[in-house]
Amino acid sequence: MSKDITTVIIDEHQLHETGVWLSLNDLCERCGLKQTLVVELVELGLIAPETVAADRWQFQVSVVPTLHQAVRLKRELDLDWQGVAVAMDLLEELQALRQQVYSLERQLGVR
Amino acid sequence: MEFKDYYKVLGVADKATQAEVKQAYRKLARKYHPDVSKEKDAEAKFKEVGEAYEVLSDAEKRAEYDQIRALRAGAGGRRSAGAGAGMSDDEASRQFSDFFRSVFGGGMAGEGMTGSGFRQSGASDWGRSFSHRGQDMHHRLALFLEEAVQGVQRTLKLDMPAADARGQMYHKTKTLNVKIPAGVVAGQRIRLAGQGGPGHSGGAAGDLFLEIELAPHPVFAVDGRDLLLTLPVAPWEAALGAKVVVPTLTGPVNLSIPKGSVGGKKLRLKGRGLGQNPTGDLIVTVQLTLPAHHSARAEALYRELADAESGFNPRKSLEKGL
Repeated sequence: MSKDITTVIIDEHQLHETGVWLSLNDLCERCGLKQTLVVELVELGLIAPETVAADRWQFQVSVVPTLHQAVRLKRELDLDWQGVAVAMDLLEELQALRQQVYSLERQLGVR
Repeated sequence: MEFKDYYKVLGVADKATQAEVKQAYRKLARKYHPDVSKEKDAEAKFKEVGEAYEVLSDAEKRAEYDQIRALRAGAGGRRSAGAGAGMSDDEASRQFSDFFRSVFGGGMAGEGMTGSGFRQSGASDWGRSFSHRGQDMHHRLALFLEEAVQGVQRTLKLDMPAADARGQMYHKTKTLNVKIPAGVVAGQRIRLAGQGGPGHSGGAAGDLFLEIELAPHPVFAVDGRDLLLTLPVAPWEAALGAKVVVPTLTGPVNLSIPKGSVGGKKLRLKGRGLGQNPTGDLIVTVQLTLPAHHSARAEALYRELADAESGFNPRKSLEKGL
């Protein structure tokens, strides 16, 4: 195992990074997905593009991890895309509810 | 090296059909999927289940594996055939076990699962890209609330896929010192451009996405950018009003409890929460509390209070139900 050490300083602008956009083409290339599939995932509401022209989309770079997670869930749980969309919605809701339960328990003094 | 009994891992019989193998895998995958499961060791178990399925779902690999397994059984070497028995953390942290690699070779990585973050898939929609850009990676980073508010430097050790001169895949550890500024919030994704998997044939490196998680805090709970604090208050403080000292993540502050505060009343300390532009608030919830034991004098005073307030019906709102 070889090792190398890199130091990365994150500046405050990176915390609010919204300026990095990918075209549909770039996104597909980057994630190794076909365009028709990405269009289908947009239609399912898994990711949302910004419409820059009637026939041109662009995506925030932060959708990349979302797509990776979707692909992973599909493969690893053997789901169809509709199922992936439902699972991801439910996972998001689950996380929000867990957080809420935790907060409420804290306020009630049971934790 | 640990022999892995993939049949035991999936809980299927030696003669299980492809349909049975698939069914067993689906069930266990749902149970242990790290995105879903809260079970301990879910990730290690999930990887093991995935590895077992990779082998048993492929007729060719299964036949090869069956031969090895039969030889072993013949030699009476049942010593360590338990599913995942004695699997070390280090072993579990790799996507495929040494056992798997020794049987099916190390070159499997690109086709199955790679890296500590994203796994590439062999599914038809996820064909291997012709681009030689490196892999995007994902890493969850848990911070204490204090670190999120003040900023922190962390050293990350990342398991990176790499290719040697002959194109053989192997893993190497990349050490990354990351300086995180003040003001991150839970769920935030920070992209570190070019810190993901290395590119091939002169291609650009992938990105590393850090996802921030916040560890539970003994005093404060978190709601988005707001911090929540439950503040115990004595009945007389609530009735008469009081000035108390409350903790915040940036040091104690004085808080006035207004006269007549009831339990559950919320007081907001602006800008004492998390994040930046805008910074969240600290929301203090009043909780009435009593001493465990009252003195005789206190009880006498309470009785006097009860007489003085005899006209007050605290359960007026419930009368409809009586």
